[in-house]
Amino acid sequence: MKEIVIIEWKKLWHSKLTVLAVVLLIITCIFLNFATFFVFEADSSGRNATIRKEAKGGMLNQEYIDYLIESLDVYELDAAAWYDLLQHESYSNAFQFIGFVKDYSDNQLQDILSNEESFYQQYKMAVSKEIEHANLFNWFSYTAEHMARIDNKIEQIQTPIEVGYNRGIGMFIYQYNTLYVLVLFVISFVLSSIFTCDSPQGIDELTLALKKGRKQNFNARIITGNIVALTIYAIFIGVMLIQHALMYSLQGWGNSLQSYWVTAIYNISLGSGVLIILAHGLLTVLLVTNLVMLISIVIKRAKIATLLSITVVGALIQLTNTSNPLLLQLNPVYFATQRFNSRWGFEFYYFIGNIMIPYTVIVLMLGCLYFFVIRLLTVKQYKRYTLQ
Amino acid sequence: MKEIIKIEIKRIIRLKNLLVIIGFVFMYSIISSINAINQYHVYDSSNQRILSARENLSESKKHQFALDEEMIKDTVARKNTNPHLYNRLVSTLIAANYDVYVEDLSADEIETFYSRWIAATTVNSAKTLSQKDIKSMEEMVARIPVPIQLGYAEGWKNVNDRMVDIVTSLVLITPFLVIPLFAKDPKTNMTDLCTATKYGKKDLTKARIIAGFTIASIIYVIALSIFALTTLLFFGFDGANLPIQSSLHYFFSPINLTYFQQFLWNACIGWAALLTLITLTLLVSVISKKVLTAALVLVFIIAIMILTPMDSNLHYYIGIFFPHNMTNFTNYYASPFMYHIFGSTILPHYMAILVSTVVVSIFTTLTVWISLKSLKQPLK
Repeated sequence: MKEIVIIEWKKLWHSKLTVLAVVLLIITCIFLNFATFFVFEADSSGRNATIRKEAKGGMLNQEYIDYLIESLDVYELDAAAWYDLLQHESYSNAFQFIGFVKDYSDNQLQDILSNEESFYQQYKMAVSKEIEHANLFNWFSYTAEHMARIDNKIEQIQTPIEVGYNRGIGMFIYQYNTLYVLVLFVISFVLSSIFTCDSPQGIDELTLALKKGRKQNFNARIITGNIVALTIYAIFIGVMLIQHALMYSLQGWGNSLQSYWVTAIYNISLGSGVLIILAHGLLTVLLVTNLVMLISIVIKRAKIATLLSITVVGALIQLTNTSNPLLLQLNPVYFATQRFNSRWGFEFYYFIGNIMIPYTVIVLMLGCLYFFVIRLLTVKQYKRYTLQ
Repeated sequence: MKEIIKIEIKRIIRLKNLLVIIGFVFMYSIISSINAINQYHVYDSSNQRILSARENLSESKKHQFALDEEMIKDTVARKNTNPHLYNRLVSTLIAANYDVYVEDLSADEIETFYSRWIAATTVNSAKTLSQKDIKSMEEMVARIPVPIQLGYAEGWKNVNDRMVDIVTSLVLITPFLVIPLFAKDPKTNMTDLCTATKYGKKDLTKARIIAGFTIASIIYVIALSIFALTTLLFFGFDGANLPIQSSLHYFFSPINLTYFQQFLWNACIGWAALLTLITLTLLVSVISKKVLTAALVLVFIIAIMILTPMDSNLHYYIGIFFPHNMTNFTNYYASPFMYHIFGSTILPHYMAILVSTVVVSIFTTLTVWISLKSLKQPLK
């Protein structure tokens, strides 16, 4: 089996189409990341702003709040000055955080920032209100008991939170969400001919006449396809991380998750949050990979299989624009993207009775279900496969 | 030559496939029209339907009038309070021109309705313009006939507003159909035989380019016609000659056009966008020579065009002429940019056609040149 996997791996990577697809993916990512860098980092006079400022990192505690009040005169800021400070990387996370609390509070800024304990109490109330507000747009509604469970979790958020410069990580997340779909298109092109009978990497009479039968060969191709997809995904993440490290620096992995996703209620670091996003992305990549291979084994013609794969991937991407929340939450492309773009999201919760289930767990369950169905349909094709 | 073009067209698209495309477009048009009709139901504050779309539209068809001082006075005096479309349109347009409630308008304010509208239209469009352009804008606005004629034109309004999606889909998907014109399927490699024939070089290249344009144009015209006719059959053909300023979307547009003219402009710009992408596709396929490779490169080119972030300057000079942006028809009528060539001011819809003509010419020339150059290379 191992030898067959290696052979199929070499066949795929010897294909000019595969190499071209990966090269185009790398070039496109590099170009678009630079374009975003120049557009986003230009200041109002048209020059690129210096983005690596001296960052005041650390715990957003009383000392930090006092520092902000004394050095920046926060109580005298008008809307324009407030906006300017939000662009200033040294303090932007603290100001995003304070601004969020201010928006949900009826109190004046002086009262909000009067002491650390009161500040974080108001923060937790703001999180609860935001989660309740966001639920209005969902396909199910939280009851009072559900909100009580959520409030209980919110109480457990460890404070003070750690803030600091994390522009690089933020832009990585933003660009990852934007460019992720390119990985899915590359996989569609690379793997849609893996089971076709009219391509060099595909199936021929010899393959169907193997000593150990077609099952071993087909399973080896499935494994190879998944490894190739993993490799392409790893290349994509590598390029994004390296480029963002060079352009922005990737400081801030140890910051609290709440320094970026203000309403997240996990007590983990920002780095761990990014790993969760990448894991979601990996799940979607594997689902799409196996779906493309299923299309390949059913259609058996390279061009039609590629066209259908691209159409299906395009349809899944287009369906993420739906306003129907249930349809959205069932979409594998939604697992990996979109919901992490908002600073007021990261997770939402389903309830079965009073058991609180994070959407991440639902994603895992849905992923397993989709994978099982695709696998079942694929295996059914093994015996039926003919070269006509 | 004609025979070669016909053969190339038949090689790419058969009647059966065309009928499938027509079927999809027809289904989409019906669904789109049904969704559009449902927007015309009227509900009260407790979400109970008080007027069906059919009643609303059939009553509104009977009313055509000018938005003149008398009509404004009647509206202010709340003489017309029925919830029908024609009446709500009048209130909405009047309200759009003022910062106060319609009922609170004074007699002086009513008298100055159009001078206020002219000022608002000029200012609205002049946000990004130079002084010279503002003067041109004022002259354009002055040419719009006032008082504005209002009436039933829901068919044309829906065609113009909703054609964006179908035109964008046609622009982005049709180019993939013409890839096999120059790109070869390795299993049926007839290149050497074709090159050895009398008409297998320059004539074949020209025929293929013409075939590409013809296929794209046929699909575009048929699809757009089906979409427009289906929508117009649902809503009626009335109002083609009404000004676009009679809708809330374009009430402050400085461009003097009727709905029918707007539809023709949209169709032309969509066609120009399609041909731009078609010639780009032909160029890519003549360079790559393989179907899947050409498709891959095309996907990435389209992805780069869609995903490249742009500031306002880049968008003004380049972004607005990308094919998928050209089909964003609102850009041409509401707060349009102005362009300058040799001292003349040019509106964006003229500029879009001009730029795409230049781009199409360049890509076509490159395609012919590369194709002929590759024919001169020794056979492998």
